[in-house]
Parts: sequence; structure tokens; C-alpha cells
Amino acid sequence: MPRDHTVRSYDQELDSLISRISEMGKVAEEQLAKAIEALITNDSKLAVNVICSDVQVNDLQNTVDRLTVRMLAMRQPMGSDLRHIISALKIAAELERIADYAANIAKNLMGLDHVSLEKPVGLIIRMAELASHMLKDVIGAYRETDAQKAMAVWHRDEDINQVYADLLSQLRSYMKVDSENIDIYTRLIFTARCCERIGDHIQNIAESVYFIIHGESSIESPMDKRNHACWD
Amino acid sequence: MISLREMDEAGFIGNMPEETIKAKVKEEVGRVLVSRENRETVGEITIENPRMTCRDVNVWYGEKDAIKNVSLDIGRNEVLAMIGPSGCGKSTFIRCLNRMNDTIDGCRIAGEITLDGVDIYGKNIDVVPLRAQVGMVFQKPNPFPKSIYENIAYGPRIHGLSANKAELDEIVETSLIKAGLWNEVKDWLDQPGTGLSGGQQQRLCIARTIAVNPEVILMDEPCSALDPIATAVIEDLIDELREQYTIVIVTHSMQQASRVSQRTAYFHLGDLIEVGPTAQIFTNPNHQLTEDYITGRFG
Repeated sequence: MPRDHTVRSYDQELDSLISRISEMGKVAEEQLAKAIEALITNDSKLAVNVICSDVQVNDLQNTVDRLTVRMLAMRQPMGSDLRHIISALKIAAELERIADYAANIAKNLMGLDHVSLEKPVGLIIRMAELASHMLKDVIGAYRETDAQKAMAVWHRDEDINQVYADLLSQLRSYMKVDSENIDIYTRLIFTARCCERIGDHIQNIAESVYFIIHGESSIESPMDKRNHACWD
Repeated sequence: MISLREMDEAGFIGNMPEETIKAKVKEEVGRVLVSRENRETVGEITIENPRMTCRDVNVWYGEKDAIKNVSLDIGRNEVLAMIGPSGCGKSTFIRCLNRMNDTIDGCRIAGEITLDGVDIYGKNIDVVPLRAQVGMVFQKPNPFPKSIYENIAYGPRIHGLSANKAELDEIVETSLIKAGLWNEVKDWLDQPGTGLSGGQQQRLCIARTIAVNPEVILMDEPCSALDPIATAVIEDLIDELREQYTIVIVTHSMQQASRVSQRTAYFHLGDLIEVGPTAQIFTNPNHQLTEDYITGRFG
């Protein structure tokens, strides 16, 4: 178990950084939930609310950026502290993108006629819900610095990808027979793509959590070997 | 309207992103650092073609066990940093490397230390040439109360390294150039060394060490009495000197260790806890005690 820092204000700053990231995660999760709700209820007002609230996440990202730069300069962190602070910077950027995609989902679906599109919209909702649960769990894994939990979330992106593949094949067949409504199908593809990308950003967060704990990437690639070589 | 082809090219249609499918995820979880109770050295203590080797080195001051079974190789043309809290044995350890501890009453040393394969504690070893081969720079600059020229010339003269005044002049000039001090003192060689600034005095001491053709230079907190500018000059000098010499530096500044060294050794209560590449030690150490120390968690 790690001990507390001898300089107590260092611990307070790290706690504050972790709280900010958790807060950002919560806001991004709420944004995504509202976008799903707007999608289900076809509520334009709620969609506008999602688009306007995006600024909240941007502000939080700025706060995290300022705090990390300050800590890097003033604390000169090392070891797990360094990994925590660098990862906070990266996770904040991922969360900011996730919130952007939530706003894009809201934008894309304003005024969409749901009645005739029940099946594909249902799949998009499924994707968004999967992403929403993953987001909640990955932020939990971050707060608890639980690599196992983070990696379990990482694997769940496959579920989103599977629904995405099914949706694309479904929309392709629709487009073949109904070229007049291709604009609508395009909007659906863009929306689904947003959900798919959210899954990828959550995977990146899971990798950052793994990095905080293990000090190395969770993905084995030729790059890892090169990184080790430069220490030799 | 966007064509299907454009969408396909932009990656909106088609197969799943391949990288997520192909990437191999490491499944092992729960990184475990070596526990605080475990006192075995973590990391590679041996290296290929070492300049110095230390095996099972123990040092006692009277009854007190100051160094416990430390084994470590020191490479050629490398800067090895020794870090650890006060009293951890890092200074005691580097003082073993040129037998400086011999002069301390009640100090007893066991184990084997070699320089280029020769046991420096062997029967026939004369410590005077040994201390030229393994020179030392101390925390507080300690120039002799003589001229700048004499500070450098003294060593080569007693070791018989010059046949005449011209050769001695050359050694003085070369040593001061290597220590990055020549341009600042070349017109003042007859002035007292003690009249120089702290940083200049420390470089004078480094020049004095270099003048007797060492193979290894030991530095015991060489910058702790210097300002940040003089420190930067010394650190730059250490980096240059590495091309020719092996350097072992003891420092309380972890930032300095991380800036100047290629390998770092962490000592704690007389044990060598961990040794490894400096970047790894400061970003991802393997022993809990190292992690505690570098992150400022002193229990």
C-alpha cells in the first residue's frame, strides 16, 4: 500500500486532480445520458441542452490542464505520481472528446423521424447505452486505481463494435432500396460512428488506468520493445 | 450529400478498426512492487565489461553495520548515481571505491572490490596511485591554499607525470580545459585558487582530479554548495567527462540524478535496494522503498 506523501499538500493536490477527473467523467456521462434520452424521446429541447452544456466539460478540462501543469512545475513528480499526473492530462482530453461526441449525437438527431427508423435507432441507443455503462465503470476503475476493472471495460468495446457492424450492414441494405432517404441514413451512420468513437476513447482511458498502475502500456506492440531499448 | 465511397474512404463504413482487434492486450493485472521488508537488491547488478566490480561488500563502523552485502558493477563511460536518505550508506559505499574509509578509525570492510579486474584491497595495492586512478570530488570545494596553477600541478608532480615545466604547463592547461575553467582563469593562474567563486572552485577541484589521469571520478554531492547556474555548468561538465571517464555521483537531488546519470542505485539503511536504468528508476521502479523515496513518501 502506498504511504501518504511527507508533504501533505502534495496529497491534497493529487486528490483534487482525481476529483476533477471524476467530476469530468460524471458530467460527460450525464451528457451522454441526456443525448440518449433526447434520442429516445425525440426531445429537441433536451438535445439543445446537451449541445449548450458541452462548455461545462471544456471548462473542467481547462481546470485539469492548469492543475497538472502547476503540479509538474512545482512538485516535479516521479514514479506513480508522475504517471498519475500525465494520465490525468490524457484522460481529461479523452473525456472532453467523449462529451463532444455526446453533443454531436444530439445535433445529428434533432428533428429525425423515428417512426420509420425504429430498428436502426434502437441499435444506436443500444450502442450509446453500452458506452454509457463503460464510461461509468472506467471512471470507477480510475478512482479505485483498479487495472483489472479497467481492462474488463477495455474488452467491452467489442460489444459496441459488434452492434456498429450490425447497424452498418442494416443501413447499407436500407440505402440500396431507399436512395431517396440517404441523407437520413448518413445522419444515422454519423451518429453511430460517434458512439463507436466514444467506445474507443473509453478504451484509451482504460489503457491510461492500466499505465498508472503498471507503468507500461496494456497493449503489446513493437513500440514497447523500442521504448525499453531507449532505457538501455 | 456525401457519397458512399467518400464515407467508406473516411472510415465510416466497412470493417471494424483493425487495431482494436489485432492488438494483444496484456492480461496480467495487479502490479506488485517488491515489499518494503524484502532487502534483496532488485535490478541488474552486473553489466558487460565493467570498470569496477563490487561483490558482497560489507562495511562496519565499530559495531554498526553501515553497508550490508552490496554487490554492484560500475560500467565504463557511464554516470552511476547513488541516491537514498541520509545514513543509507551511499557515501560510505563510494568511499570504499578508492579506500577513503581506510583512514577512519574503527571502520572495517569485507568483500571484494576490483578496478579493471584488480582487487583494490589486495596486499600489494598502494593507495596513493589508487586514489589518482579513482579520484574524488567532495561536497564542499576544497582547493589547496595555493595558486590556481599549483592546485593542478601538485598531483602530476608528486605522481611523476611530467618530465619538465613545459609538460606540466600542458597538463595544467589540458585539465583546466577539460574542466571547462581554462577561459575563465588562464590569465590568473598565479592567483590563489581560494579566490575563485564556489562553482569555479569546484571545477578547479575537478581539474585537479583529472590532472592525474584517473579512470574513475567519484563525486560526493558535488553541487550541494552551488547555485543553480554553477550546478548546471557542473552537470554539463559531467556529461562531457563521461566520454573519457567513469563517474559515480552521490546526490540528494533526485532531479540531478535523473539529469546526469544513466544508471541509478537506491540505498536504504545500508542495503542496495534497487539499481536500474535511470529513466526506469524514476518513472517505474520495482521496489516499494524506491517508489516511496522518489515520490516523497518517507515513512
